[in-house]
Amino acid sequence: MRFAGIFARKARCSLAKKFVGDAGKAKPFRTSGGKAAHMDNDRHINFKLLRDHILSEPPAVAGGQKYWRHLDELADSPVFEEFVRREFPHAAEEWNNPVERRTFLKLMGASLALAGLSSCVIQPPEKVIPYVKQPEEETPGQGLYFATAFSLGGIATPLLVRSNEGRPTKIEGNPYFFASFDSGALRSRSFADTALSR
Amino acid sequence: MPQIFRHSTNYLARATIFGAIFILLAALWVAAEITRSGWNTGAYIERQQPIQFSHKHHVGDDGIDCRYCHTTVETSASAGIPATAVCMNCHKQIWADSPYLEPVRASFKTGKPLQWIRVHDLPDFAYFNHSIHVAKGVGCSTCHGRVDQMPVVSQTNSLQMEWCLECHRAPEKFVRPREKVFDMEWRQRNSSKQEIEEGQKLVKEYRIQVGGKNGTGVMTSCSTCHR
Ligand code: HEC
Ligand code: HEC
Ligand code: HEC
Ligand code: HEC
Ligand code: HEC
Repeated sequence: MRFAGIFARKARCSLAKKFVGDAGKAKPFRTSGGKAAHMDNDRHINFKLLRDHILSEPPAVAGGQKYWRHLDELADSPVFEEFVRREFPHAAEEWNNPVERRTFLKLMGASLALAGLSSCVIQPPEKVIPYVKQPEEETPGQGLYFATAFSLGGIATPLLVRSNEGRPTKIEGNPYFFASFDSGALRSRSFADTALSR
Repeated sequence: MPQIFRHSTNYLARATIFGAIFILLAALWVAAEITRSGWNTGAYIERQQPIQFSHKHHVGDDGIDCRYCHTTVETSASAGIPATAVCMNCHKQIWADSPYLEPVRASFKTGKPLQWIRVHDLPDFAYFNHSIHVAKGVGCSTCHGRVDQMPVVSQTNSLQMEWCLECHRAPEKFVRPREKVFDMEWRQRNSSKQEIEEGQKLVKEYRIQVGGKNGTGVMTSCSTCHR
């Protein structure tokens, strides 16, 4: 049965329109053209009516603003009920539309194939550049920590800075400084972030 | 009306079905071979370096230890490429006016670093660390081959994940005593019972975290290398 369904749908997409529909030998279930038009309308109606419905709620009356707690309450109208019933009206329609479904498959096929191609690229040669004179305390590939300070409103805020190959990569409040024990550490951390981003 | 196709064509059609399967399998096999080939992995490709630096001269003939130049191989993720000053330690005195060394002298004078071309290059999504391998008795030659015989370094292994895992699944075939790590002549264990047992003893001694039978464990966990 499922297969029959698929074939029927397939027929509706291509064959039905080309041969059966034109020759008039057998009536297709629905012709694609008519379907598309109906769908367009449908999309429109759904949202427009719904918006109008919500906006047309009477504003504050004597009892105050009318509030709703959940959609069911608001949905106490046929319009909304209809909207909820067909939750994703666009998508539901599009899968039946022969033109759009095929373009979709084509595009997805192409993008999958191209995504595969991108992994076939051989990495370009990279350079590896050593120091001219290596600083004694530096180990390439490993961070070097400095305890330093940052002047904040005239007050020195103690910081701990990690440097990788001479570039600062992380700045945080120095956890060994007594005043930056809890909030201080956080504060100087966030200020350090601002300092970095400047 | 005469028939267009003879009756025997049916056999041809049937054979084609099986033939298609073989062609498909062959295509898969060729693809697998290509990804493992040097063309894809860069193995055995010699790179043109800015200076004709020869490991064969410096290591093989002169016997300089790897750590003299690759100083951080025991302490850091990267083995390190020697600074210009390291070359100048020797080349201030010997071969001081060799034309081959002109770029080194220029670099030392101007302070502009030498720019070597990387030979071994893992993609950035894979994490590798030299220090743990050296500490656990994996020698340079296991991964880099006989560097002491190479006038120009080239990659001797694929460096593909498959290759890493071959050892991570069964390190007992490859680990050696720590004092042999820089020994270029150490040969890989053969699969005789005695040699494997030796390896397993070392694996225990170094507390290498080999996984269980079904490959669970630090050494084969994805997040060890993809972090
Ligand atoms: C005299 C200094 C020196 C010594 C000693 C030395 N190397 Fe090197 N090594 C270099 C330089 C310079 C390069 C970069 C140029 C190149 O790739 O040829 C290099 C590159 C390499 C590379 C390739 C790096 C890349 O780009 O992927 C490997 C592998 C290597 N060395 C291994 C060793 C091993 C193993 C030893 C010890 C047996 C050793 N080296 C001893 C100086 C040295
Ligand atoms: C420990 C001392 C030492 C260090 C360090 C050293 N070399 Fe040498 N180098 C030598 C010796 C000795 C020779 C001669 C080798 C031979 O011919 O057998 C040589 C030869 C060379 C030559 C060939 C010169 C010629 O004219 O044929 C080049 C090029 C060279 N070295 C480059 C380098 C570079 C680049 C570095 C730094 C990465 C370096 N060397 C570090 C000792 C050293
Ligand atoms: C387990 C395998 C393995 C062992 C053992 C090993 N290497 Fe490597 N080596 C690699 C890989 C993989 C790379 C590429 C790293 C990358 O691209 O990040 C590399 C890169 C290098 C480089 C280039 C610079 C760098 O660090 O990226 C040098 C130099 C080097 N190795 C030297 C050595 C020396 C010397 C030893 C012995 C003490 C050694 N290696 C042992 C696998 C190994
Ligand atoms: C010849 C054997 C061998 C090869 C090849 C090898 N490894 Fe290893 N690797 C080891 C051993 C032994 C350890 C130590 C494991 C332990 O201590 O439990 C290790 C540990 C590691 C660790 C650290 C694990 C930890 O506990 O933090 C990483 C990361 C790693 N290897 C990455 C790689 C990558 C990436 C490659 C391929 C480019 C590679 N290895 C190739 C033997 C090898
Ligand atoms: C021993 C280290 C190691 C472990 C463990 C490891 N990988 Fe990898 N993986 C690598 C390396 C190295 C590469 C890069 C291979 C290359 O250059 O082609 C890689 C590449 C990959 C790629 C990309 C393949 C490609 O050709 O682009 C995927 C996907 C991947 N790994 C998934 C995994 C998964 C899933 C696991 C866990 C089951 C895992 N890896 C465990 C080292 C490892």
